Amino acid sequence: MYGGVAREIRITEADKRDVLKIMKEWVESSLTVLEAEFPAWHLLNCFDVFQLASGNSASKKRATESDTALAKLAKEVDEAALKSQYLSVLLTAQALQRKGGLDNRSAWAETLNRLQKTSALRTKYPVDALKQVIAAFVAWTAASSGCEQMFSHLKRSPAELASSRGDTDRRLAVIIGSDPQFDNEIVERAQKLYGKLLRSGRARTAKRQPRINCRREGAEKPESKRSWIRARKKAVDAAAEEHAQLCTPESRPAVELPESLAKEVAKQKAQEKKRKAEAFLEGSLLAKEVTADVRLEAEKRLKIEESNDRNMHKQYVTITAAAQLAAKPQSRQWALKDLPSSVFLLEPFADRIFWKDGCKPLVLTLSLKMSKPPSS
Amino acid sequence: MEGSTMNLPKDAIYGVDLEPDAHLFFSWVLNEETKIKFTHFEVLRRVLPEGEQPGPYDACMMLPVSPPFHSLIPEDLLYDELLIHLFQQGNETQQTENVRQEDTGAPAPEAPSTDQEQAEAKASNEKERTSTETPQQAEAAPHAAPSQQQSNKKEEEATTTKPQLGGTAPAREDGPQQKQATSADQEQAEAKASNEKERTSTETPQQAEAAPHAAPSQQQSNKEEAITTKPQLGGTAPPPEDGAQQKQATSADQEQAEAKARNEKERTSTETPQQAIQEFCTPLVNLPRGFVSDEADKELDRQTERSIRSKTSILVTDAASPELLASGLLSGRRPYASSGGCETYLSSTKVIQRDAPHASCRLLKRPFAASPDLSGIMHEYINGAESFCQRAFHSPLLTAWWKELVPESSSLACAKHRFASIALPLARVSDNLSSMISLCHRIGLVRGSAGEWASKILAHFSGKKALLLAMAAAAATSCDLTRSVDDEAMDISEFCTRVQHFAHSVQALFVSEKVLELPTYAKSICATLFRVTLSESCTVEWREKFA
Repeated sequence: MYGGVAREIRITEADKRDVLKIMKEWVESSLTVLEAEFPAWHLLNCFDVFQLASGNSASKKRATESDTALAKLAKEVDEAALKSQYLSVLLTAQALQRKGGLDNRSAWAETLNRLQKTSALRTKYPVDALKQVIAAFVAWTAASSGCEQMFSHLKRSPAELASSRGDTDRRLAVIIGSDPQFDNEIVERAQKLYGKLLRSGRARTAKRQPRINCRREGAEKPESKRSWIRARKKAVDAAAEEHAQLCTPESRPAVELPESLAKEVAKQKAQEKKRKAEAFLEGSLLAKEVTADVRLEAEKRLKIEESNDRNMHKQYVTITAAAQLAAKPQSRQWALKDLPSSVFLLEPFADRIFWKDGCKPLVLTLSLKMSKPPSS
Repeated sequence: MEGSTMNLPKDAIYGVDLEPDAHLFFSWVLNEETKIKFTHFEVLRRVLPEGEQPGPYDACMMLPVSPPFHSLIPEDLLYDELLIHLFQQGNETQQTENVRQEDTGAPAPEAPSTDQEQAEAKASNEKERTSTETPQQAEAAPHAAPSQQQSNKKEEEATTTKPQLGGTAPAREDGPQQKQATSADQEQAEAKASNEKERTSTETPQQAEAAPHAAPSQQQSNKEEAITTKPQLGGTAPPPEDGAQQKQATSADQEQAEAKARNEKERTSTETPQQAIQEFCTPLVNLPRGFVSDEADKELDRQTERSIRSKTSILVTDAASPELLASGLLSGRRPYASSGGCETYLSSTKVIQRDAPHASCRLLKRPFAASPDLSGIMHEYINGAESFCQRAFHSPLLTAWWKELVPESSSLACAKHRFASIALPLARVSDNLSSMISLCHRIGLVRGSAGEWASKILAHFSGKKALLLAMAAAAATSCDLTRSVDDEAMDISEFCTRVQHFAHSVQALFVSEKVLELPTYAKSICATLFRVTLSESCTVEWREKFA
């Protein structure tokens, strides 16, 4: 180094303390955002009762919270019937998933189909209430990204629907068909029709074959970056599981936040309150979850929405009138109707105006500076 | 009512050396009946007696060019509107002149279609007029087209000033105009007074109405035409030198374009999903490329549509307020602004769900933005304009140097508008901090002043920043929740579990301080010794601070 400056930097204990403090503050605010964006009382969270995994946390949660979840899901069906039907079918669905290696939604749909095949089974396992909830479980989604992804699929595929996924077909069949037992038939017929109509030779297969692994990955190299990332993920998952088991009931130590983060936390709490009020107005809260604060916030939300609607209507009327006026020219008499007097007569120009006896009123004399001297 | 004035540069209206000045008075007025605000204009033009040279800043007489006119245009289009108005005024005057020539037996010229034809026609008219028209008729054409005014400046001044002075009484003796008055002016005024007497005895009522400031009825009818042909709200004003036919064509085009735009707007956000559902329920409609169908039956399957309408119980939308409003309208919870009525098409909707991937992005985005330390380090290394990642990614040379140092690492691309994409650049920088320092040193040494940003990064580098960068990378990679929920086919029964897993992960890492024990970027960095050098060419201030 010629004339330069060099320095060795090592991470000290003080650095670690400082940085951990910053990250603890981040965790606190991030969990507040989590509670606002994914609240525990949300209707979508109730579908976790249909998770068939037999892990510790899943079964523990199912035992404690299934009643509340099913009560929320029983919005349009009988609650007691739904609970009894759920418990009577749960073991069958778990066994089917375990043996068939199915995902949760396929296992529940298959279970319902099997239990409706014979009249004896239909009598023994009535699923009229459960069927409606399972239909929602199969068809509902939490992401709108499929719509956007479909746009790109449609753009790049010469045969658009060939890029559609099997899951999309199944969910479409649920919403089109009247009975779950015909869902598979609808999907198969649609695919056959597709193959018949598309004479170019392209056709969507009923089952997608797994792609052949051309890279022919061999044994995992322990020193590689990929294996390090896998090890890191595995270790973090294990630490999270351990943390979940140790912290029962879950509690968070109080963290003193800087001003900016405290503001953000307050904002997120207000956001959560607002969303709970919206859920109350949707009717997706149980009676025990509705507090006086929620009712108050809901009334406030209603007033705000009414006010917004009124303002939008006003703006619409104004803009529409302006647009109509611009589109349909009016007469000069209409434009001049009820307008105030000439601007000449207003201050501060009145002192510059004088009238000569007998002169016509449009003539006036002003003393004004010109914007530019004449070019002469 | 607010009033103000605006001076228009003379070359904006008539050309550089024709009119000394024009003044535009405008104000904002409210029509009580319609509650619509107008821009109220009054155009004044400086008038001088014939033969008098204008003084640069002397008092002058300002005469209104026309009755006040009103428009809906915003303030920033004042200039355009004024130009249009003056141009129309010129056309009206030309039409008035033609009518007058017909009355006096002179042959009416054909309407010129182009500027050149118009100029030629005017030149010929001018010749005819000088030979045939009476002084009254000459006085009655003060507002010729601008092109004609440009070609006949002095004559135009004479013809425009005469009727204005003659039609009205001279200014008061104590007025500022009196200072400019000369004996020649007085003679001219006397001559005009005599002309005025002759005119009142000889001209027809139509000719009297054609005088610019004597009777407003002709102007009124002309003004009506002007209002109807005025460019509409938001339209681009055509230049004043365009021909009349061209202007009519452009206004027709504008009307068509506006009608089309209105039709597009009327297709509201709620009509589009309805149309999509109906098209979906109509067999063989909107067939994809490659399909061949001979069937002509394309009737809407009402039963399927009813089934979809009755079974649609959730609307998933992004969390932006316009999209939530659209979902509220579609589900019938919010009334339409136009009619006040509610939609009934998807009335069975129970839940309006916010998009989960967007929501999960906020887990990192909002706390990172609110924390001064984290936002600072992100700005310095990842997404700031002078940050290492942005500089290195957007420069092919620096990207090549980075590849030399870290052959196995991919690019440092970071889409600033997508916060979820910061995990990769954060991880790559944290994993290769020594290489980043080497690259910054090389940039500062080789690029000189162009690489000052790199020297700045080195001068401010510290152990705390390195560790914070690594922990931010650990936080960002823990937030793979976005990726897991960014799938329409995601099993919603696992949704709650994934969210809980994220909460437990970050608490285990940072609250329980496992981040320094587990195989993470932070643990790797803690065992690293960084050798940072600043070259001689680096700024003295930074070197002193660094040392």
